[in-house]
Amino acid sequence: MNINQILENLFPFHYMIDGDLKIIHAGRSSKKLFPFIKAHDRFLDHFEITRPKIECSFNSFVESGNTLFIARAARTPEVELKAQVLQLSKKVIFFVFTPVITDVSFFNELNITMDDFAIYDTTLEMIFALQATRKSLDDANVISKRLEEKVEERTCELKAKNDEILAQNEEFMQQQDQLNKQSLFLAEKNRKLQRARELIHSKNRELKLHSINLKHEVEQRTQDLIYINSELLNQNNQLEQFAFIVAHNLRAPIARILGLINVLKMEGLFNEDNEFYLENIHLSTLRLEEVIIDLNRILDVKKGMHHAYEHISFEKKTRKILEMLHTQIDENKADIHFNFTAVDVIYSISSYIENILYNLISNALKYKDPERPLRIEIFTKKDGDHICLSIKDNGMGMNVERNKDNLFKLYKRFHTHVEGKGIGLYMVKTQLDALGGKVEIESEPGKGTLFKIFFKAEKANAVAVAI
Amino acid sequence: MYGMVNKGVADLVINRYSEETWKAILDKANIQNESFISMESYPDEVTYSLIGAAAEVLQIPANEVLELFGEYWISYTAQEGYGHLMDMAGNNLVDFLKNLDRLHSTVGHIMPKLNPPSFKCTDVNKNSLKLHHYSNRPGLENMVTGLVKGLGKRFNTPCEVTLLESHSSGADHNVFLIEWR
Repeated sequence: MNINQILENLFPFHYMIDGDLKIIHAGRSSKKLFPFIKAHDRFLDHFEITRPKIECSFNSFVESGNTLFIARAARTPEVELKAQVLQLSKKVIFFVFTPVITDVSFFNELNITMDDFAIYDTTLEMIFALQATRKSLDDANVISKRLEEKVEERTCELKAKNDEILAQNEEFMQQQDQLNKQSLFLAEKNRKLQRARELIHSKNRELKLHSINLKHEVEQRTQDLIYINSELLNQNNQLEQFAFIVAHNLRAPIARILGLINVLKMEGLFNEDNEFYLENIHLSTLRLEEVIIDLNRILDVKKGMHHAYEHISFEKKTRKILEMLHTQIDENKADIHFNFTAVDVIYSISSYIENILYNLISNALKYKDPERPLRIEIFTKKDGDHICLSIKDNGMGMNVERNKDNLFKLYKRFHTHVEGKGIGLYMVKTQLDALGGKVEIESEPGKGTLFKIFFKAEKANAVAVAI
Repeated sequence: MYGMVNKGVADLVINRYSEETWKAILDKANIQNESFISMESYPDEVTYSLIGAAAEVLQIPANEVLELFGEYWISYTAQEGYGHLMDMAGNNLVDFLKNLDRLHSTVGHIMPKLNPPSFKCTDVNKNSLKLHHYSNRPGLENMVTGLVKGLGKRFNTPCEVTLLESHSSGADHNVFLIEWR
């Protein structure tokens, strides 16, 4: 291999330039790079030396042998060359260079390949490094963009989360506030409840104490009442015994006194001196006898002796009484109406019903108002648990309010212009008591009186079944 | 290996299959970082894990994945901006293969941690040559096969690649017979 071949292989980019600065030889790669440059072309027609700043002459080129030359191609491709000048002989210099290219496509267009570069040339490494750096920057940008997107996304998520947390926090605060209010409310309520409970406890204690006291009191009262009742029963028994003794044991002496008075009359022993006294004795004894008879009747009712319950027709009993009283009825021209369509039959004691009807009708006859014709209405009706027998008249009437305490007492009378003993209403009340019934009276002076006699209805039901 | 290789694997899977498949492969390989930087050096295990996971997820043998990747690598590097540089390595299959070692050497200077393989062409004939492949990384024979096939497509020169000698069969380097018409 001669020197030219060696130079060709070592420096594929070169020009040999003569003393007139004309190109006398081009390296193989120089030809590919600038194919239009021919032998004997003036070097300075194709290249401008930008460094060093020298006069472009053969000698100055030679003198700048160890200097970096930068030359720019005068026409396309306007590539920049990094070069060095070496003197080969007195009339020849060796201009060796490498193109400063950053875009590798430039070489592709000129069909310059790896083989066109010297083995030691690092242009390819530089180009590759540039491309790799560009690519790495692209990668970094892509990653940066992705990271930015992720950061953005994450920021949005965090913001959303933050908003959510803030909203939740707000909600929690509200709930907390509400809970606090409820807590306070409950605490207040609890305090009230506690107070109420304490009050209840206190009241309970009081009530318990009161209850115990009441129990003791009730027991005490019960004992007292039992004792009083026992005493009353005892007294009642004694009184009844006494009344019985009076009623029975006095009848015989009274009968004897009346007998003796009759004997005295029949023997003509009444004279002017004693007649007044004897007549009075006779009258007083008769009255005493009546009292004894009354007393016997009362005792008879009180003890309920010899009286059996039976079915009694109000209508039949009424007719019987009206028959008994027909004289007084006629005398008074009384207009009497009765109606027992509601209830006619009652299960009761016949003599009591008869006595009640007799007393009340005869009272109506007795105490008629002289100013108007007497009208008496007798009728029955059902009244709840009772059967009510009403006897209504338009007689004199009376002041019930004033006389209410004495109305049904024995020998109490409210009108003196007619005969009477004051035993009738007493007997009505006594017999009703014995039957478990009651009596009510409505009366007004000058207008009339209404007696309502209530009999227990269960007796009536029994009657209804019996009939 | 440099991130560009891992990026190439990702690009292959996403283009030929889907983004979801690539995510499944990343999951399978237990790799958290889904973005690779081309000029950043990553442990070789990352690439091996990705190839292994791809084989499992795609249900094809790992050797086929490597060959597929080798073939894809040619078009991928061009697409990534290295096309002109590759053009400088030669405009036909034989010239390119002859410059393959210089190309890798150039790249090796720029990427000091690359530890690039070395290539040598012998027995160059009209329709064949022998390509010698020297590498510190085991098991990449199929990737080289795919790579050569990819170059054949790039230069419209379909070729057959036969592994004559290999690391796995005890040789100190891999030797491929490359034949074309």
